[in-house]
This record gives sequence, structure tokens and C-alpha cells, in this order.
Amino acid sequence: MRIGILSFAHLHATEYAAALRRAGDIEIAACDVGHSGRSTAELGGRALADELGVGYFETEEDLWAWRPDGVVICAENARHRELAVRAAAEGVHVLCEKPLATSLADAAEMLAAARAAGTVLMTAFPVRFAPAYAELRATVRRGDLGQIISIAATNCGGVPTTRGWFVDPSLSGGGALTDHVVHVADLLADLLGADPVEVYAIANTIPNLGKDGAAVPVETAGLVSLRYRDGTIASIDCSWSRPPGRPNAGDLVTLTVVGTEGVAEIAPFADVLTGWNSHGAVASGYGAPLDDLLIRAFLDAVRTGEARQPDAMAGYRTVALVEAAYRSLTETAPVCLEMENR
Amino acid sequence: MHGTVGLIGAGGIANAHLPAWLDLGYDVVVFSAADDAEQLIGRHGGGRSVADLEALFGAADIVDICTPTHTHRELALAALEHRLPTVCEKPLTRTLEEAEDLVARFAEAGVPLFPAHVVRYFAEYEELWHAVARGDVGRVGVQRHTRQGRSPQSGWYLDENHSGGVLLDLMIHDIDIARWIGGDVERVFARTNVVGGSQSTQAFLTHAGGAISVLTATWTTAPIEFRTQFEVAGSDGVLHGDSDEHRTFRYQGRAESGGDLLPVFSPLTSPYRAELGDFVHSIATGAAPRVTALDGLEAMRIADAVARSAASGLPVDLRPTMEEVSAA
Repeated sequence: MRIGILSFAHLHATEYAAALRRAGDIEIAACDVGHSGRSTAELGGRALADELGVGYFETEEDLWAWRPDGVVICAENARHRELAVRAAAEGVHVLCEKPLATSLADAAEMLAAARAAGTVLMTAFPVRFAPAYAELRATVRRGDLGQIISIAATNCGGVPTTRGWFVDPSLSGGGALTDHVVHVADLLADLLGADPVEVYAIANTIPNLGKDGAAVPVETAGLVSLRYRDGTIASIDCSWSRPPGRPNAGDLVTLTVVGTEGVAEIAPFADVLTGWNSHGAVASGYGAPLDDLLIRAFLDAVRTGEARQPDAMAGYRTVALVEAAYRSLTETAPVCLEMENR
Repeated sequence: MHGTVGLIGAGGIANAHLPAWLDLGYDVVVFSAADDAEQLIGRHGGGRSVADLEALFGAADIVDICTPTHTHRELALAALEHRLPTVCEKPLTRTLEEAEDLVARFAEAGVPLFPAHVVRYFAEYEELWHAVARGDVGRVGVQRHTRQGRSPQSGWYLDENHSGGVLLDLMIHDIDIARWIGGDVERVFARTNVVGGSQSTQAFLTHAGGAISVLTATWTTAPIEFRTQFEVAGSDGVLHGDSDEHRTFRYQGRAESGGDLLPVFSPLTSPYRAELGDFVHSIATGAAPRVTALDGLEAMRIADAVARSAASGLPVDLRPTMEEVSAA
């Protein structure tokens, strides 16, 4: 089996490359044409491919000509559509880094292209594979929480600093709302089996100023409020509120689900050894290999030609939610969540 | 002895206030319409009951109202007629209009009125305020404040008309704290969900200085432990507090927990003693207490906006009316 990696723009590519290597008998090759346009401090291109132990093509045309069975798209968010549509045209299955797209129109086009070509399009939501989430899902399905009343979700990290494009809205589509709503939105959609009907959002650029001391050009703090048809309410804190150099506190993602019969909480990344040495705090994560589980699901989809979760629709509905959140910011009012082209 | 406190009500919170007043050196007279004053006095080994409100006002130098929310206004106005400095358990009143009227009348008469927003005197919140004031997180950007517990089992708390429900009984604490830390609030959006005896309210605040906050208050019929959590993130750092972490005492075993709402009183750690002591100090010196009547009124104004937003589904804009922020 041949799997291509399209771009090292998103550094999750390095984790997927490692997971693909661990998955065994797979030919892996990457192309990172955007590398020449990025800051010289940002490792990429052939040098990074060599470091990862994967093959390399100088042009994307060369990679397509190599006839991969599937590709993992890790380009800048705004390029996802172009690459996924091309992959469908080539009859190639896709695992696309989140967010699936920077607009609902782009996401719809990607879905339509894959559907027309009969190819698989999956969205890279590794948290869906977290054992803690599986337990939460089972707890809810068993009825241990009774009727769900409210959910509070957080996905808080720092401003991505390994790549400059994250804070360039023309390439990323936006800041914390774009980057950090979708993981937990995907969990909520799967857990509740429903999409919210109304979205309200507030945001600012206060946390984590840029190197020059001025605010970065995208939002670094964001809070989103959701209402579901059955009355369930939810909040999402998606802020890039962690300062650089923070020790891993295991709190990257949390969900608190309040029901009439109980309250359940998950912190899927809480598996962290903590301690100190003469340099300060020491933190060492030992959580389940979520990237390996995601890659395994994708390879299974490539082998069988049948989509696995989290699929294209999982990505699509989260893009719809993020787009609604931005609309709410503009209107300073709650907005209906419209989800067409399903 | 510093004088006499007239304590009205002998229910939940009176059990926190009575030992604090006794420790502060006050004589305490208690009147309770529920006829449970003797039980309260017996439990704490101090104070004496009086037969009616007139006897209480006649004996008291300070009045402390620890009754159900919907009775606060009438009792406070009676205390004002006697020109007695008055502590009023939070929320100040059941409605914003009542609070506005009450605060205006006390101010006009020049009689001190103290809304008992005790969370400002809880050590972890006091430390949060000091750390933020010191610049530990830079400029405040985004706050989360959460308060959850088991639904009240019985009594006036369950009657929305009497208590104001989870919003006025529980969230009012975090409304005050969020404003204390994040500054005045310009816009409020809220959602609430009630299922039987369980309810959650989530409120989204936009502060005048640009910070944003989400407050979550929950009562659930599930038998959960009371818990408070916060996270305050700024331009350069994050502070985090959780009553479930860093506990100095834990017990697991066969004995059933006492079921008491309040921990054992200690003069060194009781936030209730610190709170009432601050009011006493402010009466004596004329210095503003950490939480003022205007702070209590602003908390009511925001709570009212939360209720209106949850009912209408629309954000509520609050013009900044109070220049005065507590100078703690």
C-alpha cells in the first residue's frame, strides 16, 4: 500500500508519518511544496522527510503520478479543499487534518467530490479514539447520567508557534475558534447524536501577544455557546490561553457532562507523570496512542474502500459550527446553525 | 464585647454567621420566624433568642439578615427604619428593582448596607484576586467560573419565586467574582436548561475591558459533592483553582458524611468571620469594605440580565453605570 503525505505545513504530519511507519508494510512518501515559502526556521521539505524516514517528491504532480492508494492532507487549512478535490479526481482516499475546511462551501465541495468519485474522505479527529471518551460514551449510552442537562467543554492550548501560517487568517481561516472548536464539537456531535440548532460566540485577542508585543491578527480567546433541539446546552472554551513554555498539565481537552443522575468528566490527555528537576517542572505524557488508532482506522478504510469514523460528515458538521460561531461574532447575536448539502 | 448583633433567621447560613459573630466578640440576639432560634443557639453555645423583631431591633447595634431571599427587602427596610447597619445575605433581594430601591434608600440615609458575597473572602478567591492584581497572568482575557452541587432537597430554595433558583442562589457568587476579577460587564448572553429538579445555567459575559467569561451554575438531583472551579487566563499566564484538588483533608470509609452544608468553624480560616469582620471594620473606620452595596447591586443587575437573556434567547446590553469598583 502507498500512502502520500501532502505537506508538512501542519506538524501533525510528523506524528502521522511516525504512526504510518509503525503500522507496518506501507510505502510512505511526502511532498512539501510550501516549504520554500515558509520561514527558514521552520523545518520542512526533504530534510524533514529524511528525518522522518519517508520518501519525498519535489512536486505534487510527482506524488500523484506515484499513484498512492491514500493521502494524508496536512497542508495549510485554506488548501485542504484544493488537495482533497484533486485526490478524489485521482481516485485516491483521503485523511484530512482538521479543520476539514475554512468554509462550509469548501467542505461541501470536498464531500461532493469524494462522493462522486466513490473515494473515502475522513477527518483527523484523534480524540475520538481516546479510551476516556469511549468510557464517557458508554456511560451516557447506558443511561448512568440520566437525562443530559448541560455540557462544558474545553480545548485550550497555546498559540501555535512552530508554524507562522496559523496566525495568518488567509491561510488558517482564523485563530482559536478555527483551530480548537472542532475537536470538542466532534465529540459533542458523536456523544449527543445531534447537531446544535443555535450558536453564540464571543472572542478577543488578549491571551498571548505576538513577539512584537502586539496582538496577533486572529482571535486567541474564544467562548462558544450551543443550544440543542431537546434543550441541552453546551459551552466550549477554545482559547489559545496557555503561555509558551507551560508544562503539560494534561488539560488540553476536557468535557464535563451533567445529567439528572450523575456527572461525568473526561480529560483524555490527563495521563501525565509530573515532577521537578533543577530546570523546573517535568511532565511526561503516557496516554493511549491516539494517532496510531486514527491511522489504523484510515488504513482500514483505504483497504476496504469504506469510510470509517470520523468521516467527512464529522468534519463537515464541525466546519458548519465554526462558521456559525464567526457569524455570531459579526452579528453579536446568536445565530441558527444551517447545515445544507448533507 | 463590641455590641450586639441582631441575627434574623436560624437556617443554613446562620450556622456560619453565629459562630463568627461570637468569635468577633459580639453578643447576639436571634429571631427566627421558623421558631428554630433555640436550636441554632444550642448548637453553637452562644446567643439568646428574642420574641419578635421589635425586641431584636431594640437590642441590636448591627442587623444580620439570614432569611430566605424573598424576605430580604422587607427586613432590611425595617432595619433601616431603626438606622441600623445591616448585613444582608446574598442575593441582596429577589429582584433587581428591589435591590436598586434598597441600595438607594440606605445610601440616602447614610446607613451602611453590606451584601454578604462571602466568596470574595474564601482564601482561594482572595489569592486569585491578589495574583491577578500583582500581574501574574497579565491582562485578564478569558475566565471560566463553575459552581455545581446537589439540588436542594427541600424548602424555599426550590421555589423559584422565593430563591431565584440556581441563578440567584448559586451563580450570583461567580457573577460577583467574575466582575471583581474581570471588571464591569457590558454584554450578557445566557442559556438555561431545567429538567425536573435539575438545572444548569451557562452565562457568557463580555467585560468593558475586553475580557470574556463563561459562568456555569448547576444543581443536579444526582448525589454529587459540592464543587467550585475557576480558570483565569490573561495576556501572560493562567491561574486555576478547583475545590476538588489540593485538598487538605479527605475521608473515605464507612461513616456517612455529616451532610453539613458548611465546614467546621475556625477563626483563622472562616471566610464568614473575615467577611463580617470586614464590615465591622468598615463601620468603625468609614473605609469601604471589600464588597460594597453597589457591588451587590451590580451583581443583581448582571443576574437580572442573565435571566432576561436566558428567557429571550438574545444578548442583553448593560451600559456601564458604576464607575466605582470595590477598592479591595
